Amino acid sequence: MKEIVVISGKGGTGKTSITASFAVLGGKDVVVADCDVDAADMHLLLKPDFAYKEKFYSGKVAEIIQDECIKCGKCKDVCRFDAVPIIDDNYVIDELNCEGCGYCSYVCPTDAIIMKDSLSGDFFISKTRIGNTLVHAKLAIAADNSGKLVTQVRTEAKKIAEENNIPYIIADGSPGIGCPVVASVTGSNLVVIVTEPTVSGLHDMSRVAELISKFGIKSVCIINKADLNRNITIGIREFLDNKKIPLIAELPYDLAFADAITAGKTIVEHNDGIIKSTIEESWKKILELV
Amino acid sequence: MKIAIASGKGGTGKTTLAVNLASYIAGLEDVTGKVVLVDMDVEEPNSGLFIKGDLMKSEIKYRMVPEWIGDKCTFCKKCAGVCNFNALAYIGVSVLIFPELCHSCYACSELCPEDALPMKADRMGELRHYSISDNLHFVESRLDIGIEQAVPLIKETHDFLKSEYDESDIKIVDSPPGTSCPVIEAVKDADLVVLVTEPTPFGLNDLKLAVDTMKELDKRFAVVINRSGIGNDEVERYCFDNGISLIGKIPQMQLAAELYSKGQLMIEIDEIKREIDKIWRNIVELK
Amino acid sequence: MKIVFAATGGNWDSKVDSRFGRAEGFVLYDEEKDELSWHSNAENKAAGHGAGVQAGQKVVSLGADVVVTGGNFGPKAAEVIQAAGIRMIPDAGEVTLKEAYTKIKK
Ligand code: SF4
Ligand code: SF4
Ligand code: SF4
Ligand code: SF4
Repeated sequence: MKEIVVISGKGGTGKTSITASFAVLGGKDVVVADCDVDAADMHLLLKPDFAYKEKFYSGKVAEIIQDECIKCGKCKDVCRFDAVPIIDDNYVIDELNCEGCGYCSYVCPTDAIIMKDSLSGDFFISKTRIGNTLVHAKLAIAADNSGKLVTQVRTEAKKIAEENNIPYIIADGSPGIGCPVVASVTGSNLVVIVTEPTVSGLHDMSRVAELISKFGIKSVCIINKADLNRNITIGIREFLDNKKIPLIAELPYDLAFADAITAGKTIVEHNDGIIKSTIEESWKKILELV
Repeated sequence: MKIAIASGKGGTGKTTLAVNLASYIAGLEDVTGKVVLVDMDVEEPNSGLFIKGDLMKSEIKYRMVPEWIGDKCTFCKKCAGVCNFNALAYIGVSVLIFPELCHSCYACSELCPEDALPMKADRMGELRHYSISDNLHFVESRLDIGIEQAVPLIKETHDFLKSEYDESDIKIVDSPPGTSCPVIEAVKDADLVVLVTEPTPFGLNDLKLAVDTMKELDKRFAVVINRSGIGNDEVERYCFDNGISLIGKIPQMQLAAELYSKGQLMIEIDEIKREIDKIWRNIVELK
Repeated sequence: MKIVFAATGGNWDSKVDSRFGRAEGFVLYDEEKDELSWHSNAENKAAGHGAGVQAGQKVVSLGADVVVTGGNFGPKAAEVIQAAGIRMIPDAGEVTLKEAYTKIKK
């Protein structure tokens, strides 16, 4: 079983459109994982049935059991995050501010403070309209995107692939270069970097490529909107050459991407021309390389 | 006045709006006081790619993390298991600290009976302060690679703004994308949050997440549609049905995308300049 | 010698886990006693950041002399394990514990 993760560094490069296309092209041979848990969009194209749902907890948050509190104020003294306001003469926890460090619970003389698991999202396993399985999640508001939910999505996708003898996992990776993206790529077999020829696109993709090479994972690149700025596209090609990252496709700047999203379809189902054939070609190359 | 520009997801035009809006209002005659563009997307500050000026000041920013003093440690084991963030490892022969995981809660430091874990300053990033023109300034904070806590640096950036600028100066804040802790810290004490989205089902989905976040925080907010003309009118209908102010629509234009790709401003295009002007007038009315 | 494997299950036919910090669990093989024991990593797997630090601490507390994983350790786990003077064997691949053990012995 091989795991392919698509990432982009910055948003708006067409990463999700391309990943969803691979999900369609792979059909029953892939399990799909949406690791972009902060703002998951894959479900809008693959129309999953949300058949299985589970609450997801991560980190801790403090709670004061009022009956046991003797109002000594020690918790408020030690809290570095302004998370213990006094309301109506009672010490209470402001959950939005509480960092979950647990210091207050160490110093409370009456053990009135418990550290609860903090609810940080929902986790789903679905059948998609194309008949394959999608593992996805939704991070709760103000939750800390630590990579744990991403890990859970990947672990579950792996399990499903192994149990059903499905050869590939295709994952929509997290954006950025922080913890969540690290959690999306570690231990995967191939990373597909989708970038665009803009100053910020080039800047972000070089940071992402650096990160991937640190983990020693094989990567390939797709330049989307390649005709938007020829000079930067050439710059990206040179960069890839230097880093020995194969460039597997260049796609044109085309409003068909937005049209497909609006129609609730993937670009390969919506377009019959060069975009479709290019993405099909790159999927083949990916399967050869992985 | 502080206006935060945010979005449920990256790549919707948040930075574009922040940079163009700040540049535009700095050139207005009826704007007195300074305009300052602030990039609080500290993990990937990109505003600076679009706006160049003279560096006035750069400050290294620190946060407090414990340091283990082996000579003082009696291996009492009290610190083992104290750290809820796995930033401290007690391994019998020594105590290891992982500063990048530390949330600076002081628990280990203050609970150690031997004073063997004093807090010391640790570099987390850099704040740079630029002058772009007479009345346009630019503040950019950048987290060092490998530092995982964005919130402390965002806090420091807010403090910097407080010390350098008056209430009457106009601060345009480019927030991090998403709905997690850094965004919440970045939009704190903003008079108005402008949510940028695209008129597609993706854009609508991301906008809903952003709107839920603003409601949870009890923030005043308004919406700007970027690349107006693509997709459909569902974002507009959603705003209308929910009584959300839609304060502007930046048109989809190939030329705009090209200017963006080169790191140039879009207010060079008249059509877009007019829309930015409208957005600004609406902000003034709303805040 | 005590050998710890990052593993997906608790017997010789279980696979070596390619992750370390967020591995399913750890199998401790005590050569002297010829004993195999399973130590779940559920709480670390669930850790937000720093799963590697916690997993490293766990391996240290198991008293390992050698530790094996299918992929790599991650920088933080490696630091903890190294500081405790334990030998690390990364990249064992997707093999069973038995296969990995035989390979080490060679
Ligand atoms: S857990 Fe930490 S942040 Fe939360 S209230 Fe207690 S001391 Fe404050
Ligand atoms: S430390 Fe405990 S007893 Fe004291 S005020 Fe806080 S909760 Fe109440
Ligand atoms: S609490 Fe202080 S003295 Fe005790 S083991 Fe930790 S560092 Fe050493
Ligand atoms: S200060 Fe808090 S977060 Fe930092 S190492 Fe100590 S206990 Fe952990």
